[in-house]
Amino acid sequence: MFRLLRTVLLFSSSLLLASRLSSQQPSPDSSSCPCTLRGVVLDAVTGNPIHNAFVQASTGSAWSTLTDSEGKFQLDALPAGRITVHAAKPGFLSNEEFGSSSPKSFSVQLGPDAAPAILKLTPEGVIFGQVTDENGEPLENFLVSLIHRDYMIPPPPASRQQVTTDDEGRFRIASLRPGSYYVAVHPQETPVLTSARNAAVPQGFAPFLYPAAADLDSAVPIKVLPGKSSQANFSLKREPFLRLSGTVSGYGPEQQVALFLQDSLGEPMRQEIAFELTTGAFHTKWIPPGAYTLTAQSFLQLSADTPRVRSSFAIRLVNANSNLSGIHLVLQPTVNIPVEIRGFPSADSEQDQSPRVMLFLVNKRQSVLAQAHNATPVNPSSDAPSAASSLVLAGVEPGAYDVKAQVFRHGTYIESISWGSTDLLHEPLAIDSSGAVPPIDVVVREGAATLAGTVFSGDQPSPGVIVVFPPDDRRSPELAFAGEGGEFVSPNLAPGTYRVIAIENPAGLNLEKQGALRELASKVQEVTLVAGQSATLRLELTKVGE
Amino acid sequence: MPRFATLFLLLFAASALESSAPAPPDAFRVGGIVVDSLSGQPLSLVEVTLAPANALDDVQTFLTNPDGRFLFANLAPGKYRLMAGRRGYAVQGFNQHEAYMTAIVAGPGQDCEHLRFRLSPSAVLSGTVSDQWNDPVRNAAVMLYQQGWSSGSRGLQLINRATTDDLGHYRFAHLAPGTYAIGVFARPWWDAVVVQSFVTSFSGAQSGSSGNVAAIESIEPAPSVSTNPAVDVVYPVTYFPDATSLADAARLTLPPGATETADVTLRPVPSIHLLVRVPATAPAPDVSSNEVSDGDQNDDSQTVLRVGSEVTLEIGGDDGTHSPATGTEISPGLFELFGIPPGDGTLIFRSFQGDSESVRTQPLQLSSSTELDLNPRAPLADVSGVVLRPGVASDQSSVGDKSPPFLLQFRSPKTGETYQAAVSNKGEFSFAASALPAGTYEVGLNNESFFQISSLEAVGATLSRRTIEIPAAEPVKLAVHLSEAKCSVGGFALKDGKPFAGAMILLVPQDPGKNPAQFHRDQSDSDGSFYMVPIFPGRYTLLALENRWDLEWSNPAVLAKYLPNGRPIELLPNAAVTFNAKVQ
Repeated sequence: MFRLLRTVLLFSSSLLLASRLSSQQPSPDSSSCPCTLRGVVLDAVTGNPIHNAFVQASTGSAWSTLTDSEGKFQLDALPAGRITVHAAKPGFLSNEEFGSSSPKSFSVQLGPDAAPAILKLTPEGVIFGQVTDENGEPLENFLVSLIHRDYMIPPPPASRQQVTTDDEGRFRIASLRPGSYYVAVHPQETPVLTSARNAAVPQGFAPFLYPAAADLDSAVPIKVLPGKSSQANFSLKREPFLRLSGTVSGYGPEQQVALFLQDSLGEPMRQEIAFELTTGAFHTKWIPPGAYTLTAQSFLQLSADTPRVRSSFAIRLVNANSNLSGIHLVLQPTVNIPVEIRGFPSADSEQDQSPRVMLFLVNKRQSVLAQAHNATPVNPSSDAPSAASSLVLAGVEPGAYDVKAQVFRHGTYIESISWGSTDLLHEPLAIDSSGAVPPIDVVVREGAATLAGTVFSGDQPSPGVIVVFPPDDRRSPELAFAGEGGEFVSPNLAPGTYRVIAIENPAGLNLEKQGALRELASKVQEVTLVAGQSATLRLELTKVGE
Repeated sequence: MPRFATLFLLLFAASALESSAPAPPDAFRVGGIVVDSLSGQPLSLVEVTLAPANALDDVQTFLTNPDGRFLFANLAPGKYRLMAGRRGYAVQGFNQHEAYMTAIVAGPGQDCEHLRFRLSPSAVLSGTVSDQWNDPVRNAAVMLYQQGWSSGSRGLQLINRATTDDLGHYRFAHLAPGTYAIGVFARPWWDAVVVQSFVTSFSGAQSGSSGNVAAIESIEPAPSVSTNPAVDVVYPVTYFPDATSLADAARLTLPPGATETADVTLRPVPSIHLLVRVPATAPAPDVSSNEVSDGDQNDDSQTVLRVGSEVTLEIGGDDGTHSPATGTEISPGLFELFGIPPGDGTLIFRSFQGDSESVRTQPLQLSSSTELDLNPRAPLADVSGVVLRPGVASDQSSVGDKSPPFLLQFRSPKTGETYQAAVSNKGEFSFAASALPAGTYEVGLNNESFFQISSLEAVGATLSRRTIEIPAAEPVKLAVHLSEAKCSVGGFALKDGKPFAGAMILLVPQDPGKNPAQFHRDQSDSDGSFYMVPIFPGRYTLLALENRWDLEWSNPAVLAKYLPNGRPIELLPNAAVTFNAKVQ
């Protein structure tokens, strides 16, 4: 009691003292606040109360408490109005939007007759399993990682979580949001010699995706449901290892060349390849059979402040089951593609150096979206009288790319992107070897519309992903994100009729597919935008079944 | 006769030439059999690894068949590390004792093809950590202690740590048979929640899909502690089953191959609050450690000059220090710490001024919330000076160029308080920022593995051995001379004149009771060789002991039996010597 008194005196809040001491009695009903917030915290899936959950009102830690054995809580002496209440308990999902785990928040209206608040927390999902070899012996210290495919533009690296197997070969990954995950297993040990026939060839394990696939397309993802544990067991077989060797050519004595090896899951294998720059010869150490990607690149850096640019490039996909020699990579020069952007108002001030347009080339070679090139301004056009500005996409290797662009000037939108006679909004950009390439022509127009609004789940604003299907249904949809307050904005839109839907997690949908819109047709909201319009929507969060 | 002798000599010369023809490189082999150390039975599916001692990443692995045999061929001569492990048998080195093992020397004249590798079956210790509502505690720090002799006397040593998973489970596998104890440290899980819930919801939308985080509208100030007593609790460090000190922890005896469970329940106690008054330094900057970027490309400015002070409390002492609380400066010179369990702790006060840092520590015994005043009661002293490496004259420089950051330490034998001052790259130090009161102190370094104080010179203070008596007000200038550990001792352990593998080599300093840190140990390799470095110059006795790995060697009375038959050595600074030691 003495300690409590001291603490309270420090904050000179006799009100609090009164409410703490009289916590047994119900708060008196008054016509104005300070009010009492009563409520219960429930499991969103089972509906069961959650005991010992932490509840806090956002205006000061003095208003925090733990729920009792029936999930009930009470916070006294709160000011009137709409406040945010947070609830959390280990085992239940928090808001991991931006990587921090802040507790789930709820918006609550306080008043003398306010109804008890019902706070629902979603239980986490778990993936667990065991990794054993062909003898049933557990494999320890194998790296288990989860790959979660999200459909976002521009593509981030696939998010991964990793654990290692214990002495019984078991692993467990908790705190998972519902969704589909691919489970990958990577051995961390060196290949093993045995006294069997091939005494000179070591044997070991190749990396695998559940259940026994060598690449993402043939792998089966594990579905994680809230509050459920999903099992993924692996039975791996030792296989004879192999070595790859060959040469890289097409570079001069002054150039620096780097050679990279990636396994079938796209993981870099830095230790396993040795490359001799003077002769161009390379060889690997003992590696498991599988599909490998060898990439050779040489770089050029014009000056200290310009970024390094790939000046030539070669790539080989090798499907190896036994030793392979004589693999030959010939470096091809990369291409610099000029980009002309037209249509910015000439009144734009030149001292603003922030990017106005960004172009991304997305390579679908390995069915993993990678290799974005940012257009870098060649001439920050301080003396150019025209409204055009020049950019360059430097160091592009031959291949086929989808072009994605974003404009960052208020009130403008991208009307067209073309390359010669190719319409890059609908067709890929196909680059073959050297030679002068025509510029990519980007036309920007003023009079963009903006779509904004709030996402609700029931009567609570909710975070979510807003998919904006453009009028031209051959184009990929745009994505916008709503945070805690449910608010989102999608600017720089061309005038037209859009179909909009708010969903929790796009991972279950393949938005790149033609016809994705048709699947959601009944749930989208239609809105027609004219030039310069700013429309506001109220969107209901749609649960998309899988 | 002479002709016969000549013939004989010729024959002898011929065969001598043959045997001295160089053996082809990479022609040596290491092999043998792996057996269970208790039953002697050969073990299959054992992963035996071999790596050169100077290239430990270059590992070769061999998987044994049911006959237990292994063989590595085509090896270059040299020293190799041989290890083995399999399910149920922790990975261990050949003939391993504690942290030492016998390396295998492959080369001419060495027989390494008939090794008998005895593997001890390992034990497993696992358990669950729960709170008083029987909910699992995740991310609790679990400490594993083993009873052993590695510091020369029988005691519990921290040998491993684990973190509990979402079910509150922890698991220590691959344990050698022995006696163990478990300790658990965790903070109530809502502590992390309290701090972060004050980042206000990210209102304001994001643009399209550029992934930029919208500017945060407002951050509420760091909260003071909750006044709800149910929330303002803390878990004391708990030792299985229910003790709050390591001395009272239960001893778990694990026989080979056993699986034992040790569950721990954490019970909350009201958290202790500390108010600490510190000597005022320049005003603390307005930066908290969780500053959020406002979108500018601020580079990391933490390396720029810091001004201000910091108060931290650490609990747990040597056997697993935890830092349960960092103080918040609630007004100039007044810090508040909360979330502290009762028990022993060390208060650490750091103050920065420009690029000089001073540290002050004070041992505490906490049983209830209290106020502390670190302002000096005695009049202040003014101490500064220079630290000199061996062989460097007083007017030359540089101690800290390639050694780890140095801290010179003054410890009060009466109160246990320590004051530390950072030694700059030029060897200079000053206690000006520490508010060091006048008095008597022991002088030392915070890290005495590579450098030690060999002598002190002072102007304005009285010295006696390592103790300095500092008066008030008068400036004191100190010169600290260091000796560096750069000596090495190597050689062969011999029994009956023949090299002996697996002996415990012990280098005993002259005053064993006074210098426990200066003991050095090694284990002789398969050719009898051993090597110890870095060693401080001085007088030592070299011992080689057979099968005395359970020796209480830090006890001078126990050593007295062996010292007379040991070999006395005197090491001059930077000496590298070779001696043979007779195995006792």
